[in-house]
Amino acid sequence: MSPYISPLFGLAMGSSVLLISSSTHWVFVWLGLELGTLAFIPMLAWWHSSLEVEATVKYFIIQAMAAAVFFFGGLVMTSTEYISGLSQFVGNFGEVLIMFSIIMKLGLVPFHYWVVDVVQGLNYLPGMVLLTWQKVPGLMVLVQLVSMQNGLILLIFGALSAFWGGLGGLGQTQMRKLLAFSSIAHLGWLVSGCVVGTMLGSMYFILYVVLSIPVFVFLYILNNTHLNQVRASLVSNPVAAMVVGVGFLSLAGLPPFMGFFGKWLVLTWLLNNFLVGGAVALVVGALVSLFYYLRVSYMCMVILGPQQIMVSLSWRKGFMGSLLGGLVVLNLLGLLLVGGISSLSK
Amino acid sequence: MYHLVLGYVGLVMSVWVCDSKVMWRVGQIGGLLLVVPALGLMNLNLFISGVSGAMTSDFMSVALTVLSIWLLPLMLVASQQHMVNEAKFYQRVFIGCQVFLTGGLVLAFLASDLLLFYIAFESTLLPTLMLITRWGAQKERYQAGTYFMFFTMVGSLPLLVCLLGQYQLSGSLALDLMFVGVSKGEYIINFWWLGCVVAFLVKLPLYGTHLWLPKAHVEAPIAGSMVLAGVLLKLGGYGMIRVSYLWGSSALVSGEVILALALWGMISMGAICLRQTDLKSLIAYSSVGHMALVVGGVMTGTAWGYNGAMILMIAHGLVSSCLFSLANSWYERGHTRNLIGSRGLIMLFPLIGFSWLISSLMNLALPPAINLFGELVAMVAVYNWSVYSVAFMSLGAVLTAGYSLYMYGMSQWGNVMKGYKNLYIITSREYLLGLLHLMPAIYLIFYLGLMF
Repeated sequence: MSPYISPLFGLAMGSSVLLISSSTHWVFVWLGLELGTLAFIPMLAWWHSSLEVEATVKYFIIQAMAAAVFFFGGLVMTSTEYISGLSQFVGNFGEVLIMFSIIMKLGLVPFHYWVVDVVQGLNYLPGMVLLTWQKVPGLMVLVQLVSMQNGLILLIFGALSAFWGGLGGLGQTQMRKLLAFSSIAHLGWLVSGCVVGTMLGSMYFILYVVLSIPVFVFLYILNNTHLNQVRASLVSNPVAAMVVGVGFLSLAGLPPFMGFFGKWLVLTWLLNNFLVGGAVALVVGALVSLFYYLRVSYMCMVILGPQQIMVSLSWRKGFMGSLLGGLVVLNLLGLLLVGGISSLSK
Repeated sequence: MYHLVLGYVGLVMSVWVCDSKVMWRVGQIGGLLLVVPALGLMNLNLFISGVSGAMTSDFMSVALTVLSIWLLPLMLVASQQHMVNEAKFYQRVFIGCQVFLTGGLVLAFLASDLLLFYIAFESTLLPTLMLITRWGAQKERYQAGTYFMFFTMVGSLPLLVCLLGQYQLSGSLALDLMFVGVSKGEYIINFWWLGCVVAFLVKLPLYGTHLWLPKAHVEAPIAGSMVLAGVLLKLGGYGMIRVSYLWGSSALVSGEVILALALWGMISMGAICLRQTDLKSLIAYSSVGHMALVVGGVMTGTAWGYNGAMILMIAHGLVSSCLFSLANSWYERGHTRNLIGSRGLIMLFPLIGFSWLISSLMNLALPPAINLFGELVAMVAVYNWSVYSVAFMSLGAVLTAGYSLYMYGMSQWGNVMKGYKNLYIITSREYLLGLLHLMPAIYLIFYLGLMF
């Protein structure tokens, strides 16, 4: 495919978000979602390998089905007053349908099965855009839907996602599958944050994006798809492996890294609203997922065979060196930064 | 107090950029220089004697801060021999790890806000994990590190939830205030209290949650063992004392269960120590036994209990760290930690046998050592809680004496094992280590008022 066509797709994806955020009628929201999906599909299948095409087709089917459910939900919402027996728990049936379609689009439990296979099939950079940018349209709709009535369902799904993302990643050694499960877990935290407030959800999302982009980019640079390759690249490019290791620990939410701040915020706000069960469930999920984050960071930082020696440190110079240094510093000191900013705003 | 933490930031940076010929000296001497501002914090007031923004210092904080700062140069001195053959870069990371760890510990002890304490508490986990898993010697270090991380995290994530809940109810987590969020009669207080306390019980460790400690100690290099036994366990005790400000007397009933478990832990750990074959494992289990009395003291909720726990923590930190460094001195020569393979050491290394003797005697709480005073004060508090605890505590004290003497006797006396070649003489570095550990402990005998 010609590389000159990708700005068109990028423009379409950007305008889809603009469309969603600025439209007042749900048909245009649906239009924006569809535009975003359709513009993204060719970028997924860029390299035409069969694995990528298969992943793209899976992604397309899921997103199309979700869009259809969205449209149906919108129709139900604008038609007569369709009240179901569950309306005291979940509100308007149309709203429920739209919410479920967004859950399907984002990849939250119980409609999350596609995320792992799709991200595994794709290369790192399209996978990164899938897990970070393509959440923005869905989240924009989600934060408008959250209300007192469907907050509980979202919280349950969020807690289940945190748990499932933890459990599912335990047996994985493929890095992309690990990142997919980590994304599901983080999405659970994110959605729980959205239940409490839009600002919290957006802050967590920005934090997640800022933390996961270096991890994806550096795994792409190192070209590591399997855990053993990460371990081996510790010798050839130790500091890039270190960024991946530190990035994973940051994603795990361990202090003193910046990723802790997201968990801190979400837990504070959940407890402010007395949602203790949700907080406990999310924490259990975080604990389970800690295992595979720790395993990856072991591979990057801790394990060294007796014969391996340091190669010459050419990584210290140039653009790459300063980028690496900047990213590690960001992770380490970011907690001070965001803590300071948040305390200033109180 | 910010100057103290900034000093550690500066030390990390100095170690990172200095010449590789001097990096060990920079770490050691820099660490030693940083003791001076810490000693400057020591003020004989009982209550909060210094406040500076996010940090505060009262007698508990300062005692443990000085302990952790004191241990940094000792850790570096102890580990410079076995790191000699590593690549220079990794030596630098090693030193940086330890300095960062000590900086985090100082931040934890001087924090005036419980959330800052939590963050610093958690951030000491990672450097310790690096020390254990990266620089440990056997293949079991992987499991040891995983156990260490997971035991601690399972405790500390509920602690985060409970602390944030407390923040929501009372609006502040500052230690300067005494506050109780939940009123006395409600049932939720038990879970809340448990959530706060489990993290520290795992760290201390309490008998039921102690499984990570022997693994971590055996697999860790000497620096890891010293910092674990010397300071990290005390984080648990300190945290428990601080968190108990939140509850007042409302959680004393729940504390009794923990107290009972701790008393049983004293006896069972004493018994296990008598059957250990690994020297480091013996000292590790003895740590569990000593910390059990700390738990007992804190859980009574009395002033004597807290004081006894504090004295015990300082005393145990110094003595246990000394024992580990002595065991390491032997391990570097004989490459064995087995008690059967390390007999007759007093014949081989008589002068360091003095350090072995003093530290073993202090470990068994011989008067006039400060260990005895700590045990005595804590025992009085536990006796006040229940008369029948005397049976447990006395049996525990007897077993402690038993295994300390056993360790000393098995390692020092008896026939020297044949077949060891190249047992080079004890270096002045190792004599210095023994001295620097034991001198503060002996000085404190004469000025125990520093800690009351």
